[in-house]
Amino acid sequence: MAVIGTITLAEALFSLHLRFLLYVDLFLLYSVYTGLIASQLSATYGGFAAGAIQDVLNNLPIGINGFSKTALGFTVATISRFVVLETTWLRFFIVLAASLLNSAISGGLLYTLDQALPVHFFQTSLIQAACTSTAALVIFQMADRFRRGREKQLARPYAH
Amino acid sequence: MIRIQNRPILNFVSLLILNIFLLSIQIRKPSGQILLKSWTLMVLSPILSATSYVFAQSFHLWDDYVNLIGTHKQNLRLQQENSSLRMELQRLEELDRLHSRLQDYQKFQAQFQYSTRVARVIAKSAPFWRHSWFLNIGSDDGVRLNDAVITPVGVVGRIVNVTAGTAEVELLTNNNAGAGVQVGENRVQGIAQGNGSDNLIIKYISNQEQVQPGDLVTTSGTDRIYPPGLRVGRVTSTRNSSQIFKDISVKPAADLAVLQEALVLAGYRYASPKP
Repeated sequence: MAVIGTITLAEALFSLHLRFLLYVDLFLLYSVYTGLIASQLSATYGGFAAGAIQDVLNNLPIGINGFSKTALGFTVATISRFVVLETTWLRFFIVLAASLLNSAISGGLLYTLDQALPVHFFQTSLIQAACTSTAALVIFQMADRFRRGREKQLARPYAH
Repeated sequence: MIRIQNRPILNFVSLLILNIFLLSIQIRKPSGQILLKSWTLMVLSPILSATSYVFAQSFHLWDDYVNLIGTHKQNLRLQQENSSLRMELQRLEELDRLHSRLQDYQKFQAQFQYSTRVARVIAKSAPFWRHSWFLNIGSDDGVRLNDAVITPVGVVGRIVNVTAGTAEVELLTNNNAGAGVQVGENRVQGIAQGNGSDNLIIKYISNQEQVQPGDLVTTSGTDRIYPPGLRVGRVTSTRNSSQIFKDISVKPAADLAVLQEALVLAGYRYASPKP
């Protein structure tokens, strides 16, 4: 459901024709957020699914983003087991680092497989990292609220 | 049984491998080959090479160091075969040289109007005693006494003994053998005579005549054995003697020590005119 929601949101944002939104990697935000709140297993599978769908939507060989998002989901989930990553600014930097790492992994894969890198890959990666981490400040807040509201709803039947 | 659900690292690695697999079946190399096939070959080729190397070395070890039954016999047989082939090669090389020489003789033969026979030298006498050869042709081939024997290079001698199948040649260098000659541009007449050495001397040329070292000596035909104009040799030294005739030394044109074939002028009959 979350993945489908991400797809819908991504398409909706693209339809707004805002230049800033074109650089926001919602699938990365999904993978990182899953890693922050869910288990390693869920984050790994979630990252894999998100990356594979992103590859399909972007007409890339399936596995480029699948590989990087799988790695990110697992890494963030592993880190969040030992470090509390609830602070907003800490999450900002986590997303920033994850976005750069995602570009490095996918770019490295394309390079290793003798595939052409996108035009202005390095500049685009930096802009995308900045835009995605900025967007994370808002989106993660919204997601937290949604998650807490849902948790409250789930907890009510057992209140008495 | 491994419980995969409780092993996130295993899941993580599996998913990474799945991603790589997915990439490998989609991406093609510039040659058109999909990566999975290329990678598979890349992984397999060292194994195949190693296997092939091990098998080859094993067979090599077996054939060269273990299974040597019959090798000694085979070695001996090959050595014999090698010797035979070497001898055959020498024989063929000799035939080739003979063929070349015979071609030269045939060209020279065509220059003469009279009949000639190509003869092979079958024996040579020791030059200490006598300068003579034995040829493989005789009276059955039309060879007669006093027939001239020549080579494309120069005069050799004359037939002094003949049988049905052989003929003895007295070389011009033999002691007291002789031929009428003419020397140099002036065609000064004289008699070339052997003295048992490798050179000839020319007699009966006056001290007044101009003869220089290097002058060409040819037959004059006056002896009625050798046709005129055949090359005999070149003057090596000349000096005026105390008597009236010069002392002239000549080196024969034909290298008599190494010749193995000669031409017999069987048709030249000045030596024995009909009565």
